Amino acid sequence: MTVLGTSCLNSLVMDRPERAPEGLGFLFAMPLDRYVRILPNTSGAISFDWFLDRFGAPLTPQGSPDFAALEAKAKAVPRGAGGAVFIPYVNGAGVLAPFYDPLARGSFFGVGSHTSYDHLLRAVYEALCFATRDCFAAMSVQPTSLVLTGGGGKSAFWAQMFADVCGLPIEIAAAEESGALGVALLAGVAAGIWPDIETAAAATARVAARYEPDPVAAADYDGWFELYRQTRDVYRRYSQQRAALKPAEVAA
Amino acid sequence: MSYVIGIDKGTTTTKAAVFDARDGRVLATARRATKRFRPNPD
Repeated sequence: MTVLGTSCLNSLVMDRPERAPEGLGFLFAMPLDRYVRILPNTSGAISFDWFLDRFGAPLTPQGSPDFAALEAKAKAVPRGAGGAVFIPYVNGAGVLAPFYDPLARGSFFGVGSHTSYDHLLRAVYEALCFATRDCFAAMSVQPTSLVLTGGGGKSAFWAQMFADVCGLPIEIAAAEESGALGVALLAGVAAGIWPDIETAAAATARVAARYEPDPVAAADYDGWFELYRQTRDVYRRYSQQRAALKPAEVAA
Repeated sequence: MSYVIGIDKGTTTTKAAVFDARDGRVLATARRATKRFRPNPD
């Protein structure tokens, strides 16, 4: 399950406590000998919001970002965003997974004179899918399907992109506030409202939509994902050097 | 009839929701901004 909120929590339910990759992320013990392994990509929707905030977005009449219009822009750009690769490490806390580096920061790689706002926007959409695949790829147990929830799970376009990039069926949880629902189910089982987690989940959790990976798109994205991984490894090397150079004060 | 409350403390917003135990339907929610501390920003 991936919760695409401000942070992006990539979670895997397991029947044994697999700790790989050692020292990263979280491992929670659950009732009934289940474990939840979480590799949080600290830069989830925060990267998307940053981009819209800094570079502008089409707005609804109410003045909030028009996500339908944004999707239409990103959709019009082919896979690979015209060669632009975004490394989404904009969170000031750095990166917690699939490697630990509080000094890591983001970047756009591969821009040219042809690169437009729409290309960069598409690159941001793609980057969050790459970052999720990156986290799951680091785990020792691989998921066979992925439930996507959080603000990012409301977009069919993005959900299909997650399916294509991760090569996994993506399920969209019907539940509103699924994070709160999850802990409510644990509390309800503990309080005796339901006999076990399975019963609790069966009564309350439904899948609203399912997206299958498209083999052609998935093959394309394999190449872009490999480039993403190599690019983030290259930029990682410069985290310390960048941080050591005290940034100039910005005039108010 | 039973209800359960869950609290989701997110990075930006802390959300609480009351669910109907019969079907998981959200009956009420409340949210507050999560206060963050960053003593040494970039």
